[in-house]
Amino acid sequence: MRKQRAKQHIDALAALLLFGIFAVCVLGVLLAGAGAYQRLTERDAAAAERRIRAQYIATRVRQADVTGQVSVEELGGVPALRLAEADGYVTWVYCCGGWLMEMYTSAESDLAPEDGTRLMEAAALSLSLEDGLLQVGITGPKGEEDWLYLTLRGGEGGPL
Amino acid sequence: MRSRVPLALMEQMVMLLVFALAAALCLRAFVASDGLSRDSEDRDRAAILCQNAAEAVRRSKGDLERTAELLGLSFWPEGDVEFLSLGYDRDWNSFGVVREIGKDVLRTVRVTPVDSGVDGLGRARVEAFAWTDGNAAENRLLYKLEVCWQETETVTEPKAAAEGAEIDDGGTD
Repeated sequence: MRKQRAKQHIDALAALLLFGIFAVCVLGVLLAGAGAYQRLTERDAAAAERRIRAQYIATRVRQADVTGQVSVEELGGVPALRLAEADGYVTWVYCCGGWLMEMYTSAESDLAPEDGTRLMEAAALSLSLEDGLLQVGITGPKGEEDWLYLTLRGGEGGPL
Repeated sequence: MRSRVPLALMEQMVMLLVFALAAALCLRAFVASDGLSRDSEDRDRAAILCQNAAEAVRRSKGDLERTAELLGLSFWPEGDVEFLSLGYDRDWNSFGVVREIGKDVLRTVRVTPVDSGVDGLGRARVEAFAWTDGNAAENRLLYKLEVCWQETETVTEPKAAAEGAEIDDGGTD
């Protein structure tokens, strides 16, 4: 009788142990899934931000790509891309206070760089325009750097 | 009275087995999604680098040496060079111009001038490849684009306008 009761206790303990293993495995898989999902979303978000930063500048330049309308100047001591428009207004694209910013204003306006609209996080923006080739270096908030080369189409070509 | 413990034990073992199968499938899905995410990131980077190379080759009108120079790289062509190959590591850190795929060069952007078939029109193909570790024969195309440019800078007026011909607009006097 005592032997049978001990066997029943061992069986119950084994069932409990198995349930414990099951619970640990469930937790492990859940944690692995959560970790994988977090890694994926972080990587995708970082890649999307890099792509959008570069493509935003490329699209902006292409929109304003008419002879002499795209230039690199300084706005309140900050290097900026100056995109002039036919109606006397200009769009400035620059980096200020850890943000990539844009400002649409009249050409004679004396607004400061801080008055622009924040677009997305960026640590630095370097610009150079030589012989129709615009070089843009964009540094992201985590120090990742991307270079963009844009040949200005404005004024080139024509009828043969 | 017989104990129900062996039945519970059996039930839990079946549950654990089913769970193990489901967990294995889940882990495979995690690994696959990680691979897809890396591939997508690679393609994003490849797209930007291909666009840069395309802009440079367009600017240099197919001159590969000048293309490399515009991209801030050194290139000394030996003999008849058919393409310009830019090498990168797995994280797209540049090795500059490379001649062959090495141990560390696992990503390349290749610029190949091709015949456009039209006089005065230049054309080049820009492709980005990912190479399998230690296997130069196995590559995967990440991104591809073609770029064209006008070979000549000369702009001539349309013939009718140059000769001062009157344009008949079909109106009545």
